[in-house]
Amino acid sequence: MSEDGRTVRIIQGNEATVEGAIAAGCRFFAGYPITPASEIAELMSRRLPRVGGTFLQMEDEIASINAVIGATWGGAKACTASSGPGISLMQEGVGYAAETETPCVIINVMRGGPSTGQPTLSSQQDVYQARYGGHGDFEIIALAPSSAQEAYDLTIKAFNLAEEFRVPVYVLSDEIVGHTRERVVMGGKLEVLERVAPSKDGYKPFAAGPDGLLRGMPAFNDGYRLLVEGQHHDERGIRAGDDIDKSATLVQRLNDKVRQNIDRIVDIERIDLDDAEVAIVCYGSTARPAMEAVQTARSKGIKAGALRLRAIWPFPDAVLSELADHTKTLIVPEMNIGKLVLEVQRTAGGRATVVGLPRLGGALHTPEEIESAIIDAVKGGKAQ
Amino acid sequence: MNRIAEQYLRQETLPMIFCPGCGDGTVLGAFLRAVDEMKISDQLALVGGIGCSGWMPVYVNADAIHTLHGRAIPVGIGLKVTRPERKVVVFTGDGDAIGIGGNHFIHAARRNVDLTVVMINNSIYGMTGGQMAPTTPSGATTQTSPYGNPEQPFDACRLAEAAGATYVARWTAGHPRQLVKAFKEAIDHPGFAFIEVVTQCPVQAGRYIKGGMDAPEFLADIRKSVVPVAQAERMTPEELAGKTRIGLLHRSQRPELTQQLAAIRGGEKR
Amino acid sequence: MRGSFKVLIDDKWCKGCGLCLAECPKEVLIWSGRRNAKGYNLPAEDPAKACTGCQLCELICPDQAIRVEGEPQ
Ligand SMILES: Cc1ncc(C[n+]2csc(CCOP(=O)(O)OP(=O)(O)O)c2C)c(N)n1
Ligand SMILES: [Mg+2]
Repeated sequence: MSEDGRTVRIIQGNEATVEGAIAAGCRFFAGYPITPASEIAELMSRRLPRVGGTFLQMEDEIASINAVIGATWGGAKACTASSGPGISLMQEGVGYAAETETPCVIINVMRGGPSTGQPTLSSQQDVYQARYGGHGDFEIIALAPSSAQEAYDLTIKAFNLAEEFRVPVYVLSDEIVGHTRERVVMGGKLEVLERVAPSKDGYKPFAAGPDGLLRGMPAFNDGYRLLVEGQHHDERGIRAGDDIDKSATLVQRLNDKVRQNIDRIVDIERIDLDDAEVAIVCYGSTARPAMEAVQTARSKGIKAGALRLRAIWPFPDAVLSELADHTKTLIVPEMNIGKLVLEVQRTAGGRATVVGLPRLGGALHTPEEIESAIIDAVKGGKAQ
Repeated sequence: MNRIAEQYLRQETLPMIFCPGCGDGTVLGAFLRAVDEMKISDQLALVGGIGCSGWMPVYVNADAIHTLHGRAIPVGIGLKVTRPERKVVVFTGDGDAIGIGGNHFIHAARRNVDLTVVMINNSIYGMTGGQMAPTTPSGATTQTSPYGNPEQPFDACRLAEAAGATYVARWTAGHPRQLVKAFKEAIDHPGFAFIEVVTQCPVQAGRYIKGGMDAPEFLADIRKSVVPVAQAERMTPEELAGKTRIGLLHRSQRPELTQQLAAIRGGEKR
Repeated sequence: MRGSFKVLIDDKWCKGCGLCLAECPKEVLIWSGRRNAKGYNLPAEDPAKACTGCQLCELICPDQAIRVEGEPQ
């Protein structure tokens, strides 16, 4: 440990996620083993009891997300972790957390799907599942780390955002990030949002401030007499599913509270974008070869740059729109059939050429592959 | 409204959604009396599943959460382990507890986690309009067994006991005094406590299974079908055919989950 | 129990299910012929009968609409 309380360790992304969660104040984890996320449960089972927390291995992922919801109202910061099949099972619970404004974190160490698919290889196929996996209209937040260090940093951030926005927040890690051992700096002065108990004076648990957000987070058995209702409800938590106006107001707010405060969520890294003619738009582990490709292209005198999204949901429309105004071509490498590229196309609105670079099968793009896409784009050759 | 209800119901949530003559309200009344005698409303964490029965906690002026269909028990576990001194009571239906939520039910019993689970057995899916449940008797007609139920029902109490529950009782909506006592015992019991309450559902089960019985007829019919455990012990298998045993069916002691977790945290087990 | 007891029916909450009539061991409760605002038939105490204060009606009432008042002697 250094003087400022920071430690440096060489650890897997999955372990970094666990350390990040604990640093953020997570004191409850419920999960069910699944490759490539199992290390998170294993490490949580060792670490949590030592910090006064609780680890539970549940009977399935449905139980896991619901236990997380119970623990959150019980007063603990809580999370679960899984991969494709398990995340699919959790979807009803994620929607419940959104409806009831239950802060919680869901770590998805993505693997290839559909179905049992590719347990041991990486993918980014679940980016839409995170956004649209549950029924009904609601917004979530999703962060995508591309290194073990970011697995640590963004997990802390995920807990903070969950508390601030009272929403389920996904950490969309993947097999590559989860299983790569790298240097991670941990501890030191961290920004951690502590849970604040709301004042009981005239308290209405689901009455939002002008920004659409609920203030603080109460716990059961602290004298609030809370009513947490999964059906549409009023500001007191009382059922209003048959009230058209109250239902519309609630659902609108559940969406607006994320959309309209997007400036507080956007998290991007800009690399050499100022004069770039070609920009790689990337996130998660595909950012790794992308960064290398941009460097090589620059060394050859090509005006290439990259926009890396650390927060992918809500999608940073304004950032992409502005980028499209200044860039000729946007290249989107993804380990899926071509997903976030559709968002990039939408926001570019025809003002830049958008080239998808989808990859299936579980292997990461090579830097050369991305570089040749950059070269193609500069030559003005290849369209989508 | 009686004094107990005035004191313990969350007035702004009334009236209760229950149909006229539904047993759920009677069971809730008995629960409130137990809470009153135990003076524990501040310690309660009430959890409801989805179904008519899942609404019961919503009407109580205590911390309450109305969860997803089948998922009340895992939510209850999350509440319990984060603050073991709270008294978590789960209200669930027969479909909720041992249909869609069956896996959670048996595993919670196996863990012997200190919850009180109250299962309303109306032998039907009430809320959705009278479809067959895992408790619907063989041969019974419902909205989804028009030719008679080809399946056989669960005995939820035997299931709970086999899975490891350490307090198991069955009563009916016609036994409110016994229910008050059972609630007190179950809440005080340090482990997974299960109470099945056989109830009349005049509007759904009454119409589809019982050929149009009203609430008093239905309750009388239930009373005829049950025998107290002590009496059952003296009866022959022939006499017991078609009868349901009521009373305290099982009580035992074994390590409870939150205590085990506390021991791990305390360093005894690491 | 001996004493003088009164069975108070709360018109607002009663759903007219009739469980109280069936439950009363002394047949003290009868249909009053009145309906509440929601159209439910309301029970009432039969003036010719004496309530013993057993509270079975209060306990069975699913809508918590019954209050038995009085002092045992
Ligand atoms: C996942 C899911 N499937 C189906 C439903 C619809 N549903 C609501 S209540 C219910 C049945 C309830 O039956 P039971 O648990 O016996 O409760 P009761 O209404 O009889 O008290 C069903 C199937 C649902 N809400 N969620
Ligand atoms: Mg039922």
